[in-house]
Amino acid sequence: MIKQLTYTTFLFCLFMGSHVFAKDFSVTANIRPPTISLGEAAQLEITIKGATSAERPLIPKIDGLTIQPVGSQNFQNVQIINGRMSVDAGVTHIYQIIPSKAGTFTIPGISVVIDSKTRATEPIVLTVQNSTHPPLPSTVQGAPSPSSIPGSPQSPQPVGSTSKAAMLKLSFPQRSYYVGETIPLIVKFYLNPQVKLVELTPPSFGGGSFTLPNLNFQPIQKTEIVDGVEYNVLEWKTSIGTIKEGDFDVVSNIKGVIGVPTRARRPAGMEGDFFDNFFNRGTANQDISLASDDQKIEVLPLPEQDKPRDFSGAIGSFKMDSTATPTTLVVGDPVTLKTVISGTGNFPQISAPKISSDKHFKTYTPGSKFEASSDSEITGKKTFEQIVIPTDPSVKELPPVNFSFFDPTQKKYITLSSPSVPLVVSSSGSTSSTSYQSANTPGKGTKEARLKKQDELVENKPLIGTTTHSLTPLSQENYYWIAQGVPLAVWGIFLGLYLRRHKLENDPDLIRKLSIGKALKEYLSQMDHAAAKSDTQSFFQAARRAIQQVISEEQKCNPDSITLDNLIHQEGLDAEYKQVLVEIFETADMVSYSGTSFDAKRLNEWKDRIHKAITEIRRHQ
Amino acid sequence: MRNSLYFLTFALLSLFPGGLRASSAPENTGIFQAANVDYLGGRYEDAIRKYESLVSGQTFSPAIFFNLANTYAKDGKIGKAIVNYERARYLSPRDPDILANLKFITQQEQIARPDARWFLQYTVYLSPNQWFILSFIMLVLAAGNGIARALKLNIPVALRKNMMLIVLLLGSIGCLGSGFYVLRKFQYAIVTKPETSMTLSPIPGSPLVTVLTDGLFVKPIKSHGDYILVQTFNNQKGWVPQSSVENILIR
Repeated sequence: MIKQLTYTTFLFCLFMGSHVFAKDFSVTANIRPPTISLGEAAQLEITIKGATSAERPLIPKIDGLTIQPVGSQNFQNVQIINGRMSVDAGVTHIYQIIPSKAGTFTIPGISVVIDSKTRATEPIVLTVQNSTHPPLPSTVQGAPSPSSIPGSPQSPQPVGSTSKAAMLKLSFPQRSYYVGETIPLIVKFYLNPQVKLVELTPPSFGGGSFTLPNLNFQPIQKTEIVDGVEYNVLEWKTSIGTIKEGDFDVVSNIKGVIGVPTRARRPAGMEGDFFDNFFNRGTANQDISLASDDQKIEVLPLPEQDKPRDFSGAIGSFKMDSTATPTTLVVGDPVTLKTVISGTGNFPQISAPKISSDKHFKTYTPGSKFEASSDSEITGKKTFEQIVIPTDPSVKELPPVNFSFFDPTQKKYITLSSPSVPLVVSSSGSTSSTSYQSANTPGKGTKEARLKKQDELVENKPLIGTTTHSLTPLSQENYYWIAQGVPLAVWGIFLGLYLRRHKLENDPDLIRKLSIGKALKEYLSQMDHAAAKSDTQSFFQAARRAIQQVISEEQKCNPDSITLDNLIHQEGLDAEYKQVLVEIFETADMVSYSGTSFDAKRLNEWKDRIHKAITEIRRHQ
Repeated sequence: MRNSLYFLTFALLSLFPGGLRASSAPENTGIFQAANVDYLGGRYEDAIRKYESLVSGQTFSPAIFFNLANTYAKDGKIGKAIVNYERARYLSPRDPDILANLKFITQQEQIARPDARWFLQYTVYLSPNQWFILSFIMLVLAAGNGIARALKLNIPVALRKNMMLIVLLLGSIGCLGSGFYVLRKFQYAIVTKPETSMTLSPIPGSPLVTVLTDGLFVKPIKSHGDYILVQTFNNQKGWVPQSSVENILIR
């Protein structure tokens, strides 16, 4: 509860402002710094404690000083000690003092009237010395005059004519180059130490056809004295590549933002970047766009005379060193050819040196690596590693490696050649000193023992070999089991056919049965056909033959031997069907001898009776 | 149908090991050679990246796995090296370089490998797929023999004997069994991260069973979330993060 009351009181006092604290007040004046140089500015602070709404006091005119109001800043300090709260509030009016001459100036007491009460400051002294630093610039080389910052109460300070806030210089080591040559260059950005660099883009280049330089690095920071003035310098050491011949005026450009000090001073105790930003008074930002002086260069064409056939565009001064390992190997084993090109020149244009003859060798695309030894990346070494595989045991040496380049200093082409490397190449079946084969050499132990002893692994295989696209075992593939089933199925089919045929060959009853069945089918068909044509003779002849087949099947005898008498004395037949068969036989005889004929209806009735009888008889057999 | 044709072609070619030469795409050969150059230059991470790009592109060969394993070994990643040596051995079980390096590195690191029983040592001379193909071939021969006999074709007397048919059938079954036996040896997983914690349950913070070393062979049993239940050679069971082990056979 007490805390809540205290907090409410605090807020109330805070918003009541000067009405609460204007009952008594004090006024003080201060100059920061009390001593300045000509060309600099000082800050006058009039602090009124006990009143936050006091009007800005008038400052009397002083010869040699320009005093301009900058702004006001209220302040409130609240302290709670042992539960008792005290509030210290007021306002500080800030003025900028710009001297126009050197000397000692006394600012008289400044009166402040609040609620009919008058308080005055003590007189204070400002000492202005002659300038010991270069005056602040207002212009930069190659850029328009800076303008005031919108919303800012101040403009950048006037400057002298002997120095600049910022400037840009471009320099080349020489004036004449060749097409394709890499030109080292230095770009320097000079900044007056009194100017703050806010933002800067990397330099760009114009005036000719060049490859873009690599500026993806931090510039070197240092100081340089130019015309007696010390500047902070950002230096880019880089290079550009020439593309075509001709005379060019190369120029470098740079853009950025600088902060020019406004010389305004802050209230006491408010120095530092935080308050600079808070008051927006430390510096005035201005855009700059600088261009260097034109640098004339001449780009010459490469001479055609004596140009080597293997010249690939390397220009500079280089050395070459080449090694090959191993030198004792088996046909098909790889040799690593390592070539190092070192020196100064256009390394990006350097391609891998070639062996003078690749006959009896299989070569692979080399890999390369560049290590710069300077900031501009035109000095260093480029290492090429190439796999070379001898394909013939007759190979005795690795041919020399050739590398051609144009030396702009000597103005001529130079071809470097490495010495040939002797090789001992044996056929794949013989032993050699390579790790794998030597392990199998009698007397040196097993390969495993050799590996363990030498603590090394059998080296990589040079060829990719047979490839596949799956590691899935066949046992997990459906098509494998289908394929396994195919021969079994085919075998099963043929086995079935074989067994059937074997059974037929060894079972006469079955053969006869099948034969009778076939004949029966034929006679029944003839019978049906005759019934359809009302051919009584043919109908009963076919019917009798069909019945003979059925009975012979039962009696296991020749069908032709079955007569009416056999049929009458046939046992085991159902009486009803037996009667039908007997009738057919008798009718057949009658038709055969008398020529009796029946109509189609009658024949169909016979046909149905015969089919039924035969079917039933065969069912019971 | 295409798979069947491939299989039949493969089956026939497998009779002549030197005859199987599936050509690799030129770009794969280029990547392989570039990786070899990186390896020779000591740029093992670059080499691994290139070899792995081939593997992730479903391009497998004994040489790719062997070189990848060598590179991992040189880079100090023993578990990864052993996984890839085993994969190389899966494709080319009799390659002396693969066997030598695998034996060397497992002995050097004192890592126990799943070994075949003495009477089944013969099985390691062929890969599982080679055993399966041999089984198929013997079955085809058995079926052909049976069909010829059924058709009473004029075949040599020796081939007409029942013993020949029995031998072929039993051979086919035996090869199938050998294939499955060898395949089991490749169905292990290998610990690829050093000091992998094996816990009682598949929950972070679960009680520790033991710590597995890089390169150890474990038998995967089942998985749960990001964990997999494994069994070590000394029959310890526990859960390890799936990212800490790698199956020999790529699914």
